[in-house]
Amino acid sequence: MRPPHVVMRLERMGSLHQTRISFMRSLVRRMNREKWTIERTQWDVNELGYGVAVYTVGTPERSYSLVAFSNELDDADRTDRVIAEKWDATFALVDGIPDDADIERLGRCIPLQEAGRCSSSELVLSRANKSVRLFDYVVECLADGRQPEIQRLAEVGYLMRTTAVYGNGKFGLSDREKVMREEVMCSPYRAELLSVYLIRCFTHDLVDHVASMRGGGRSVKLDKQRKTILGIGNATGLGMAPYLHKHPALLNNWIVARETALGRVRAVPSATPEKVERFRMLLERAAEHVHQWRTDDALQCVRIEQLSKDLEHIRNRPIDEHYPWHELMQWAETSLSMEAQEMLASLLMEPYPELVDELECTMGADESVSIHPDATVRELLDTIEQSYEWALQIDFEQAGASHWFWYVSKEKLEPRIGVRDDDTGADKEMPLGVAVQAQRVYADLKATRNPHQTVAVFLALHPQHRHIVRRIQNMVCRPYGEIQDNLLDEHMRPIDMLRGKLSFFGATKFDPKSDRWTRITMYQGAPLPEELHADDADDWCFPVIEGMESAASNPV
Amino acid sequence: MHISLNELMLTCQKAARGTGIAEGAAEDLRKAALWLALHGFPAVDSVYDALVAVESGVSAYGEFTLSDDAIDWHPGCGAEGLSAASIGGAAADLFTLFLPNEDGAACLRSVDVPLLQLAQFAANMPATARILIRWFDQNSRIDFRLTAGELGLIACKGAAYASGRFQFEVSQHTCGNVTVDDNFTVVAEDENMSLRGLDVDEVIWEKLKAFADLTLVEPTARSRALGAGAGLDDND
Repeated sequence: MRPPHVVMRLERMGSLHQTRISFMRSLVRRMNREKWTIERTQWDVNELGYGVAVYTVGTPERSYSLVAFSNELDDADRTDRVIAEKWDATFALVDGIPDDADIERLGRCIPLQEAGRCSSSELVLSRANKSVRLFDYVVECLADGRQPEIQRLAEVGYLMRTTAVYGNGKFGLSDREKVMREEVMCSPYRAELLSVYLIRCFTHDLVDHVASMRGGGRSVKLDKQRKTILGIGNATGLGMAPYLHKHPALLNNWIVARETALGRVRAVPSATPEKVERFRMLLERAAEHVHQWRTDDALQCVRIEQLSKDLEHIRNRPIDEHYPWHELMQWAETSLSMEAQEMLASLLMEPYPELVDELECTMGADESVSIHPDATVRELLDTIEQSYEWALQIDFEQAGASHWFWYVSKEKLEPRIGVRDDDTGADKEMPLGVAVQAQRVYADLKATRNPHQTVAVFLALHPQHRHIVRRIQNMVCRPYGEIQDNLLDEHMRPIDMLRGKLSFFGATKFDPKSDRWTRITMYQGAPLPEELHADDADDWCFPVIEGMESAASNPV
Repeated sequence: MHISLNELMLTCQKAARGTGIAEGAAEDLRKAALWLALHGFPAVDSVYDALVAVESGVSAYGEFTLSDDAIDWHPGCGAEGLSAASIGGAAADLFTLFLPNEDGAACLRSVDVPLLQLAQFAANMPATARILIRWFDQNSRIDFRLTAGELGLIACKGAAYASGRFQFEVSQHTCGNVTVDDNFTVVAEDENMSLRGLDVDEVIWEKLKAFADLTLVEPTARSRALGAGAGLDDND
């Protein structure tokens, strides 16, 4: 496995791509394996597309239903920010099949989102906005009896974009402990990503319905190829960064699973021709996928350009006979961009489901942590020197080292960052400055005269260090739980954390809107409900859109 | 009002931070609040009472003296009570170290919300540590006796106090609106609590949330425009 000091850097996290064990991929595999069914059980939507719909998923254990409320929204009210108060559509994933009374109750609270109150019968609360570029255009085409142009579909990639997908007890929702009691839901983000898959189904049906109402007998339905192209968009902001900080055990397990998978493939002594052929085919697909990756972000454009060149280098390199994947990865580590290294890592896992897929079961985490009060000051110093050397090396006297502070705004609890010297609120800073906290506790430990003093006594005397000591002690057995960079530094790019997390979801087509905000596409290329039971249902990594121009049109 | 256990924990943690309690102690309080809820005790009331005491200056982190076999922790000057919200986890750490010591004695004087302190012990001590409690009648004091022996939380009387290794003195005998009496017993953890969440008094809950809101930063035009790195509209 690659060591933590190599893997747990912001730049590398900001270069990760979807893998076989990303959560969307493992969900689709499970749907396929267990023959889940998806049925639209209610459709009370008017000619303009406003109303209620219900989709019910049948799993071997139980049923879940997505209840969708589609609402009229003025363009001026459409924002992806948490500060929005109205949305084009709102959703709840509920346990079981809701009856009329349930839907009536949900209709009163779900459209309010954070301002409403859910019950423990609801697992997920979500909302989405239409793509103004695409939604009306698609409806217009279909109503007129035409299929929309693939090029235009591909440039956006979705009809609606979720702006929040809440779970785990937020706003009265079911606690995760309850959700986890069902084996089908026990993977991280399983319920949330099932919701997103069903939202995708809803958007497909919604354009068909509105077009049919508008065009009557002249209208056509969106064809299968186009539906497959259209995933669900997502706009993601700063909230994901504090999440990674607050859940180091989970982060550790995600990274360990990914690195273990890569390590297993690298340890393969020789590759069969079938495996090599599969790799080469996927490499070609990935190259085309990258050609079709559009963004306006200048930095990401440069990276995509380099990634394309690097994939060409991989294509031109022969595959060694002995330990072929290790040799290839080792060469990549010294010859290719980080984007390319990580895409290669993802690609190498694809031909080896027998080595990789079981690791998806290891990505949950017991997040309970406790202080080890009987450890001594000397032992804690040793731990810091061994596990937090990266933190001790940061010079906080340097200008810019404490530039940012992270906080939560009173405005709908939106996570934000501020400039320490310019913005108000630093006194309410969230404790994301792990490195500076580690240095402070290290200094106080060093100043303690008795190295045999227990941590219990040290913390009773220094209660301000209780948080970081608990963290440090519990990271000893979670070496990949800590992002080994200064999250307060002027040059820190929050988007790296966002992308790292989103890659574990299985997101593609990262489209940064700033260094702290990105749009992505989810489930693009994923099988439609009627295709879920097919043998190739899992074969949708790095999807390529047939008929889309392979344009070098990113504004580099 | 119905809340999830996750809401309970997060709100208690934030509320503690809102009253100025350090992050580490706020994390302890989060665990203690969950323990109270899972055992059918008034979690929101207990935490709220404790935070009011901190915020008003009635309770404090206090001062303590340590020797090889004794802890004596008291409110110190200027405070009436020892804050269960502030000291809970740290006290649990210290008491854990005393567990193997048969001759050890530990005293927390005038703990403001004893029920919360009990939860702090239960939630923050190792699973092998067991707490035997004795609840005396009003105007008397509460013992927390720690032992590494029998599993379970046991209510006991008289003799236990005399032979107890740890002793608490408390200044009040109530927790929120619940009066603890001689018949107090600790019930087993309700494993189904996480399936259904928790019903709480909306008034107290909102007051607790008001403490949590103290961690939030007032928005400005600049923070609105720049703080999240996104535009104010997204009609793409």
